Amino acid sequence: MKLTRRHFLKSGSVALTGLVLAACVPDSPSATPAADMSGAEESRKITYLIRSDIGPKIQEWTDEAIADFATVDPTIEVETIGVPWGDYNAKLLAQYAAGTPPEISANYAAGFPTFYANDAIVALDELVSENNVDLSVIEQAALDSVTRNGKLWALPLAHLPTLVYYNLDVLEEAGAQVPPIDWTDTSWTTDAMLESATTTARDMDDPTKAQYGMIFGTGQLGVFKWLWGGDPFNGVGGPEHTEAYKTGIVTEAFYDSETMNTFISWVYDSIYGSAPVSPRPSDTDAIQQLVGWPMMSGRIGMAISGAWSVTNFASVQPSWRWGIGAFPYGPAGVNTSPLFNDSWMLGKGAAEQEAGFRFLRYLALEKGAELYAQITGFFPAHKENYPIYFDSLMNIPNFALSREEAETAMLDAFNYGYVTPGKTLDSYPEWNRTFNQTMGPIWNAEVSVAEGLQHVQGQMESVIESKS
Amino acid sequence: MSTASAVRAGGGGRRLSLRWREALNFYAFLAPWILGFLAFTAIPIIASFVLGFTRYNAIQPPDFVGLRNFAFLFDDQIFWKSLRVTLSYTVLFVPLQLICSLLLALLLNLRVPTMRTIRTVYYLPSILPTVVTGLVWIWLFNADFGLINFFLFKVFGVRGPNWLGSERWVMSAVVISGLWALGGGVIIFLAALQSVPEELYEAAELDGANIIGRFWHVTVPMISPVILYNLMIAMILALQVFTRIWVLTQGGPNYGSYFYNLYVYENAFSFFKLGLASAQAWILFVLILLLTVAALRTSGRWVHYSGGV
Repeated sequence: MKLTRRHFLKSGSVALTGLVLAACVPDSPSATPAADMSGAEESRKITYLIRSDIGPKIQEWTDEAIADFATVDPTIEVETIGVPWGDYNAKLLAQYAAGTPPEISANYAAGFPTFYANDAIVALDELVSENNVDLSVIEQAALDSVTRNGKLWALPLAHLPTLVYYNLDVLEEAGAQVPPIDWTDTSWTTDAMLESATTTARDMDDPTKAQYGMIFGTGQLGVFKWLWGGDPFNGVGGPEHTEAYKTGIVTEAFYDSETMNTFISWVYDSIYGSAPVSPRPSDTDAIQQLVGWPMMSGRIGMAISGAWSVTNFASVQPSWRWGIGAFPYGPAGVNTSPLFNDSWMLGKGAAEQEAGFRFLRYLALEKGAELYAQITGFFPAHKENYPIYFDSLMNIPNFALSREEAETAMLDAFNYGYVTPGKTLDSYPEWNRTFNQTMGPIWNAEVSVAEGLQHVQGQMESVIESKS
Repeated sequence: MSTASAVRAGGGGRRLSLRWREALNFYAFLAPWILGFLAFTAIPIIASFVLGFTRYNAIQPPDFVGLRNFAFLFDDQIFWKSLRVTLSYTVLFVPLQLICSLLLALLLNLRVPTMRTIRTVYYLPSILPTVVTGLVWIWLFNADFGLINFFLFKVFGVRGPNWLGSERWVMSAVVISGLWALGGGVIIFLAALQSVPEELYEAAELDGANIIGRFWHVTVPMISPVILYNLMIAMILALQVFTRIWVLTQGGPNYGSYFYNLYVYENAFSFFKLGLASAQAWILFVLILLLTVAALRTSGRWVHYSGGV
């Protein structure tokens, strides 16, 4: 038969349509009958949603862990899907909406409480006991942070305290006090930190030459209020009094309280006071665009940040000496610092629960956790991997502390920390958005602190009302 | 049966068969598009309409709540603020964009050497990725290091504002950054300008019209259908703006640049409120529809169709 142009185009269209239809048909177990018929162990495929924007180290760890896991359990095939932080929730929701939630995902964008509240993750207790999994190797505080209603909802891989990072060269040259490693040193206060920052700060009128004393984090819903003896979500005292951190449900906010006003005024004065020590937000943005985390500019004496920031030193390898120190004691006589964790969850409704848990165990408790400590630079939740982490920490150039000092500064932090609201509140992105948006006028010196906080309070109350 | 009627029947049969073949060919060629349209446009549109009446977080099945999403939105301060921000931007940006595009098109319509290169240069910003240009604008607008404030200080001795950090100035910054990529509108205006018959200008000149007279009485009426087209496209795009704002300000500070679509996106994918976001999307659709119809209705007064339509 002669193939005319018309026949060719028609057959092409029909074939294309067929292909489109075939692509729309989901894989079904019956599509792979070979394994069943051969009598060999059934092969299972699981999906693992990872973040693609934390740097090459996470990708390297993922690739190595998956390759190694293939030798541990060849019957489980792990398919990874990489998305950046901003799209993590969207991708996860799309997978749930399609009825194909990933077996494994992490509590990055929205913490586990949001997934817990939506009945989207599996309680791991039964799987843990069925498989005789020993969880004692994981830092208890990290496990507590992913426990709700007495059940375990995720397995933590990273447990990250908040620390004071410092540029030793800058502080020494200015003759400023260096943050101690000892978390029990009550002489290291917010006032002492401010004094040290004041000694360090210079050329503050000229942002192109300025050397800043410190950068005090302004996000995280204002939890540094803890140092002043308060909390944004209770009117009594520190975070231990906040019911919302246990249930995930916010029912009240205290952003216009006296304690909050004092704390925010302290930070505000460090930026706009008579002797400023911190960069203005626009300067911070500019430095951030140049070097990422502003501390890496080499023009900042001290910066408060989570333990993940160590990875910046590992990748940038600054030419100046640097160290980590304890959180300062605030006016309330406490140095409660926010604790973070990166935990991995098992998706409810995912096709391969058993296989998913097998891989989760591998990542959190077996060789995967070891590789995590070795490669990523994030502080591991697995206690037996601490030495691996500290080995890699000591390999970062110009780290000014001895191994023992580093261990003290890092490990003692857990005794003085409290889990950050980002990992305990349901719908955290919404609280965070409201706080960040409404604090703008204060941080840009457009309204007084008291006025600004009243506005923040009003908006927080609106969100609470909308959820009731 | 007579011979004549058999031929008619046979001929009729062949005609029917040909029609069927053509219909089959038609649908076979169209099938990929129809499938794509159904899967990626029609069904999602219908689904979003239905979801607008539900509480839905993509994890649990949708729960019908009637008009509660709409009632919530009409009572929500952020919803009204986002709408106000979006409409203010549209009112400011669309006329400016039309005027600047037209002026630029007039300049690019001049007959001077290297004009093709100049036209290409002016079109370039339109094809650059929005994220990249957004990052460049963040630098330009920086209060302390930005080129704009540097220029203001060096030339006028004025300390420029905190463009992106101040609720008072952020809208100006967003409008200015939007005016940079005028290429699409300019190209359409340029094509329209080149299609205005030369004899009309000659006739106007003989009647004593100066350059401004020729512009008002010849150019503007002759290109008025294109002005209407550009107006509607610019209005629709302004009401749907998202990426540039997300990169520049993420809607801040204090919701000062919290455009409608940012709120839709955050409700859907950050706050797990897909039902509410669907309701918002339909409100925006109705708003765009009303504004487009209004623009078309009033166009009879100022749009001149040379064919007399």
